[in-house]
Amino acid sequence: MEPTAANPTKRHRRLGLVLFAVFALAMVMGPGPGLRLVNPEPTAARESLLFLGLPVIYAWGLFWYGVQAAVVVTACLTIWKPSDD
Amino acid sequence: MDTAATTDLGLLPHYCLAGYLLLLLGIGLWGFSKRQAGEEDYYLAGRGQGWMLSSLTIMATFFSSAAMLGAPGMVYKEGVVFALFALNVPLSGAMIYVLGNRIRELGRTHGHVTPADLICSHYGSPVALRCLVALIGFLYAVPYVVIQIQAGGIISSQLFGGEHAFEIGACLLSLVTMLYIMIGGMRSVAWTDALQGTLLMGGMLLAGAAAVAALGGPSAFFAKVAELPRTSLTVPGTTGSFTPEKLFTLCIFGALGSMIQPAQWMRFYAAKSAKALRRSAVIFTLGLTACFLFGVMLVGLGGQVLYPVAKPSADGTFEYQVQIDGQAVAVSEADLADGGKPLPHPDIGAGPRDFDKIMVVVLKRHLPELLGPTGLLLATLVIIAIMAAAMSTADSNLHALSAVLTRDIYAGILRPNASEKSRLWVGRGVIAAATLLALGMVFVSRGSESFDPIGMIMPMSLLAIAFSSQLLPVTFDVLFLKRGSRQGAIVGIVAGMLVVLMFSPLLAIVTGSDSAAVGLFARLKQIADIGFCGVAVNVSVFALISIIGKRN
Repeated sequence: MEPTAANPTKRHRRLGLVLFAVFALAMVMGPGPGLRLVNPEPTAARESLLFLGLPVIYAWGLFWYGVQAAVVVTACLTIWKPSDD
Repeated sequence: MDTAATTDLGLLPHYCLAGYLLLLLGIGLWGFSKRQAGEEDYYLAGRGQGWMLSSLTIMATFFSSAAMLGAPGMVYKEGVVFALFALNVPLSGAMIYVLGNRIRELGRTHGHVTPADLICSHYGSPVALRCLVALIGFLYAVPYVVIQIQAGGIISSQLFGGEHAFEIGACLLSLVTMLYIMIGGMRSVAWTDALQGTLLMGGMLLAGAAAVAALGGPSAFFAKVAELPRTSLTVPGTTGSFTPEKLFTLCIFGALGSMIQPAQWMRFYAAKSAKALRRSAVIFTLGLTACFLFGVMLVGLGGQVLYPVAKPSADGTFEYQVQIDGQAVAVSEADLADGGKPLPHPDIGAGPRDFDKIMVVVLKRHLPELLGPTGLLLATLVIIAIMAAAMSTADSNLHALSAVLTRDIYAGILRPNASEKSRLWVGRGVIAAATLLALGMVFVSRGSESFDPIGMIMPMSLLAIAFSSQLLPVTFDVLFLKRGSRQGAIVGIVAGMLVVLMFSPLLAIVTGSDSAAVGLFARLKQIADIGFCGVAVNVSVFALISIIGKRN
């Protein structure tokens, strides 16, 4: 069934699961094992330590902070709202 | 260059600090004038905090000297890897609503004041579980208050200099904090937190801007950072301590543990509505993480350029100084990555725990250089903001400890028929006793070469959070799953706490610092966060005993 305004609970549950999955991914990728994907090898050239002039792992952290912030703002505007007093 | 050679701030810090402390006492008196009779008003400000006050008091409680001194100190020591620890903040932010709103609803419905009220009413355990939850509150709050008082001493010695500046600063911070909590309860604590939260958010960002400006602006800053040793720009950091797996568990349990500690739990009870917590979650996530990533973390990184920890060698590698038997010895990057304890630049300090001073030194030297008299004023205000961070965390924890020991132990177990008036006075006595205990620990630690339970600010904070993390399994069970048993909860918490204790300095004191057990737990600590190890055992035992109990 397509999510509509008439069945917000089901729609919110689905959205909640998606947001949870994205947030969990951001935690695993940002400060977690995903760091290994971008962490330069010990023998790598010095330029590979940087991305757009920033230390590559700092830039990586900023990106995943953006994802986390987007998830929290989306949750606030959608699934958390109906329970307001 | 020694500390005395840093910019002389004159009498400005004295006036600013005096004005600030008087303002805090004024807020304490205002809180007293607005009081209403009863425990609920003293501990939860009548459950009427709106979103602005809730968000600021939750942030100020979360912000501590660990954030303002410890985090930049760790980045200065370990490099950019520790800046990623800031990604625990959005998880904490989300928990303000996810956990906080359910805690608030149950608290309002059943009249709960402390974490033990909610947990024990769910499991029907009036004594054993209540004692354990109160013990966790104690084990979290006391070390946390101790490190805030220590931070007050560090700031005072940096700000004023002189032979007894540390002792005077530590005593002053303790005394003023103790007074305004005793006078006004939660209302005073929350409003002083609001002032302190605003001050320290501004202070964090200003400190980052000062570090960037001191190196010639953003482009020059990152160009100089790019020349740092390779270990400062990569994972697992200078000493090899922060593997991605360890950082991951640290972020998860650092976030969850600090959000279910008693002081935050009581702020959830005190929130007026779901809307207050919803907005607080967003403000916390967006604002606080930015303050870390673009503020204090840049101070640590800039500190590595301004006050290098490593000297370049002719072969392109770097050489560090480490302390062995009280002597500074030069070692290579590779030797350090095997777990050595580096020393900071001599301008920052002479001991391995002096990394925490980088923030104050950068502010005190470089803001006045950049901005002249305005810089002097701003440096003073930011240093006072660091003191605000320490005081706002100390006040919240002392206030929560008072509620926990009075309501859960004194009125819950020892004297169930005690009048509300006597409970309030016992609560005030607890605040005074806990403050004096924490102050005594700071002085003992400072005066003894062999007994140093405090060490650097950040590791001590993480140990305290590991204790509060042991409430996670029961909290999730009470709020969401509702499948655990009372016996499982009790044994699980005991098992988790014992595991965490194994990582504390207590083990070294009991078995000797070179024992096999100390070595084993030191190796485990390199792999994962202490809180994670405790919670893993806690959950396993909790689940197992709950399942066995249901089958029987």
